Amino acid sequence: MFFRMLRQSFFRGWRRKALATATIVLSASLITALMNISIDVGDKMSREMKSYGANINVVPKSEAIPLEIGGVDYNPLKDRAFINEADLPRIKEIFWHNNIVGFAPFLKTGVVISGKEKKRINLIGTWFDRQVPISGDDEYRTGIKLVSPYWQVRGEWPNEQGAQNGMPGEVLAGALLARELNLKAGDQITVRTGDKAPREENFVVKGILTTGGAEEKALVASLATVQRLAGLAGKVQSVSVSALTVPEDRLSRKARHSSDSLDSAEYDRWYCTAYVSSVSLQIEEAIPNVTSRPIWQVAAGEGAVVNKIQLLMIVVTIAAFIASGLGISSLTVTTIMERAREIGLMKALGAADWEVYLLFLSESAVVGVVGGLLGCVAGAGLSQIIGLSIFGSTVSFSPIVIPVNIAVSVLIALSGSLMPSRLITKLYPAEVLHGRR
Amino acid sequence: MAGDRRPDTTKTAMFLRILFKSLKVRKNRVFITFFSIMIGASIITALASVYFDISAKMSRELRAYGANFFVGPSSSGGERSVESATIAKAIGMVPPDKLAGATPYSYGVVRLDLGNAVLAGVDFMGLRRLSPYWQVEGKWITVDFDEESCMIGKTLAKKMELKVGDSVNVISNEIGFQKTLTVKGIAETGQAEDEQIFVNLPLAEKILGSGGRVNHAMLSIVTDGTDVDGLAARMQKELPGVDAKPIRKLSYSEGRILEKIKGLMAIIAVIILTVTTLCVMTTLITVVSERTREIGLMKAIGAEDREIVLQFLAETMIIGLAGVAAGLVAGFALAQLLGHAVFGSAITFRMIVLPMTLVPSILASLLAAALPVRMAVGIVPAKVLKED
Amino acid sequence: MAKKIVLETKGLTKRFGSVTPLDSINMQVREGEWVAIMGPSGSGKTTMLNLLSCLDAPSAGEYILDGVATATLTEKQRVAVRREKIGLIFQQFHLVPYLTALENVMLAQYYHSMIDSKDAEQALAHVGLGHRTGHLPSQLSGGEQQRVCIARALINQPAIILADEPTGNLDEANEEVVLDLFKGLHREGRTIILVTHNPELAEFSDRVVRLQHGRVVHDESAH
Repeated sequence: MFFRMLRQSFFRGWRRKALATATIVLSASLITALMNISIDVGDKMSREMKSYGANINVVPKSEAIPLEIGGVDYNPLKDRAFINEADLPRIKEIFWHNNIVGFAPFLKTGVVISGKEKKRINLIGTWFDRQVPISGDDEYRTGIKLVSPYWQVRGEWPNEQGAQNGMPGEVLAGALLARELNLKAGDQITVRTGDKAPREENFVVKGILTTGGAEEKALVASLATVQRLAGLAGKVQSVSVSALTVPEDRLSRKARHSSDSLDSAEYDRWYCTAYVSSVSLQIEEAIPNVTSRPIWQVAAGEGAVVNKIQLLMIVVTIAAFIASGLGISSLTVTTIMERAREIGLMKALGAADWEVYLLFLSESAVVGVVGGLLGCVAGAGLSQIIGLSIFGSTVSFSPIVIPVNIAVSVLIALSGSLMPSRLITKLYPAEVLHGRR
Repeated sequence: MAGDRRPDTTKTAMFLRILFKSLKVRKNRVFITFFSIMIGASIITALASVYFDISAKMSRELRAYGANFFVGPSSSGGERSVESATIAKAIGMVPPDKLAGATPYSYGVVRLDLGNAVLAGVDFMGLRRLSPYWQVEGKWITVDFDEESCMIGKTLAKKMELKVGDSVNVISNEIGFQKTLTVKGIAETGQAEDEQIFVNLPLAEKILGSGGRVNHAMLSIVTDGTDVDGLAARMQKELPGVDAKPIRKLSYSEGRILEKIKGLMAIIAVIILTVTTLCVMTTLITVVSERTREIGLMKAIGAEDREIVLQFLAETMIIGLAGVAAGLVAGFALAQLLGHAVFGSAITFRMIVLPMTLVPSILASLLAAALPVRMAVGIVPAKVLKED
Repeated sequence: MAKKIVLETKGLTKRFGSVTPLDSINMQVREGEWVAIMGPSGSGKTTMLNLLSCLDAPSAGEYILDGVATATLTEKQRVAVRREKIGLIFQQFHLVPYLTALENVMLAQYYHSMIDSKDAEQALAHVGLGHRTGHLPSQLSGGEQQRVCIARALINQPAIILADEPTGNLDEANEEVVLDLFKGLHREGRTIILVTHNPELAEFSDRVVRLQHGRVVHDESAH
């Protein structure tokens, strides 16, 4: 009989119930979308943060202390150590290879431009946008364009190969250098290395480079070109790595202080979490004879900002939860208030208060479950739309959202019906039936 | 009876009487309507307030990335240093509430016990605010007259076999000045700083004999609401021989990230606005459709459609306005809560939030009331009056 | 000397699709007459009342009320006719729940023309409710609510009073009171049309019209 009543009550008031369910569905879908996004926003934002450039710096192990001020080396006699270019793809083959967004090697050599011999300048070699075959992904491309998206070139980027077919090689001139030496795109220059056995090569300036850093005082060419000029085939001096990492927390700070202080369980957890320090340790392990250090300006800044945004999203989601909860509650209250007459009748026929409660609460529960389920489906779709429109990529769907959402929908609908149920079970059936309420 | 009828109550008075009676006697319903409108309005207010403040707030958060502005000698002059007075003037040109931190740098090569190193003179107070990302073991130098202590980069410390609390001899190669300093903190940044030793600027001047000149200064400026490029141009114009520029790496990324966050917040605000508007509308529709019978009666005894619509809209309008007013207050309080929970600072109240809350809330309530009233007005009163 | 005809129907018909609940009703009601329309459930009583009270428009036929041909009026014009010429009394009373007895009567004045609270008080006193003017419907008994409804129907001096089972929701004592009120109205010379299936109520009317399957099967003076 109870189920019959439940069913009947649904068919009788289907219009109102449809309205209530539709509202719950919409709210639930929006909340699902919000929850999804707030769970994924850390990942998404830290990808955005990659525009700040590399967060790990890899250099060869070396005993010497560089004495460099503003790009001028005061210790030219130091013994130089190098990384083998052939080892670089290993960076993309570590445990956290999916978190490695990109990397770019650097090789620097001092040169002069003929005609302006007084000024010693740095010639920096790097990858611009190069295909690097790695195991599992033959199409992988990386380089400075990916690692430092803030590098701005007026003119064109040089080609990757350097001089070919008798054509002069191509370089970028740093903005400051260009202003000082009056260089512009299209100019031909001759560059000479300053060693005991000087080498010379002709270049054409393809573009003017603005970075806001030391590169503005230098010439930038492809890595191959600089290796040839410096006579250091297959060598690089440092590598900048851009990796997706999780913000620092207590464990990673403890690990940084001294990794010996971790017990083995902590060490495993640290090693298997994409902290900037553990990723950089794994790079160190993958390539022989290098030191890999987090660039704290980027790594720590990113942690601070991503944490803020995540917190913001969570707080906003909670606010939305409360708002729609209250909204739906008041909706349920009104739909039940309308049915005072029906409740009066039930009581007149001898229904106990708990039976009245039961009917109304079951109704709400059904509405809550249906609304929550439909909402999850719609919300999953909606979060993809939001993800695509803001971050240009889909948002991963967290299964945890489904039970949370349904539970909350049901809870909201139930609490909404409890309030008026209390109000209504106090009614005298006679009053209700005679329309005095 | 008919002949001596004189009005003792005007139509308007009666209209108001019906209106307020309906509000006074139907307390439960009125409260629920008021409540749902208030919730809606407060959420809109809170989110709109947060939305308009988010750029300012996040821009401040992004200062965690350190310096985004450089002031140094102009490259064309060929000078490698600037008067510290000039640098101080340049720093003074930044509005104080927009300056997150700034320090001049003075560099030179010195000899330590086990080898040569680059020494940098800085203003530690400014540096600490400029570079919150420095990972420091031990302590920061906190007073600018401390001439007995230094901070040292991690790589350098390792090579020189120094720990926090150790003493180190600093000898100037050029003028032979010598001083023993205590290592107060070891810093790690992953960049050039790891191989340098840091002391207070006045001490650096004595060691290096730089005579009131520094190499350059780094500034951290809150970009939201500041014309950074304009500031750079003004500095270069007013202080000849100075090169001032935003650091592209930072300014480029900041713009991008602020845009994303604003977009995200905007979408979320729209979503929540939709949800709450929807809830308010459904509640109102239910409350009004309860009164179909009343509307039927009014029509049966001769009320014009216009009169019925007017009464219901006026009623909703009053509840709506009260709800929005309460919602504005509650919403602003909620915004403060949000601001303190996330950013640890208050959210500014903006006038633009007022119409932004008022218009959609009132529109939604009127629309929500108009729909069922229109429906009810279209109903043949005979039907609703006969129904049980 | 025959009194003036206030209400006249010619071939009044109502159809809902293929169903014809009311079929070619011809009827005349003179001023001061008390007519009872009777019939079993489904005989077309309610449809007839809706048409007579201008709550609904006929599908065919003519309906002249107090000199106005109403069959072809628009909804808006029918509202005006209801306001000016008809006093309605319902089985379920239909008072506005948040207005007091007095205000419910004033509501009819408000929609009609001008509001005179003394007039409304008088009307309530006339139905024996002079002491309960400030009460809300929920504080009144069923009989009292119906009397407020009657006072409301009378306040604008309508050409006819249309009552639909006015005692249907009342106990015997209250039925008596309401019946007495109708007798009084009749004595005052009001035109009353009463729809009921209660023979006791019909007993006091001048004339009984019986409906069956949407047609008049019997129309004669009771006395």
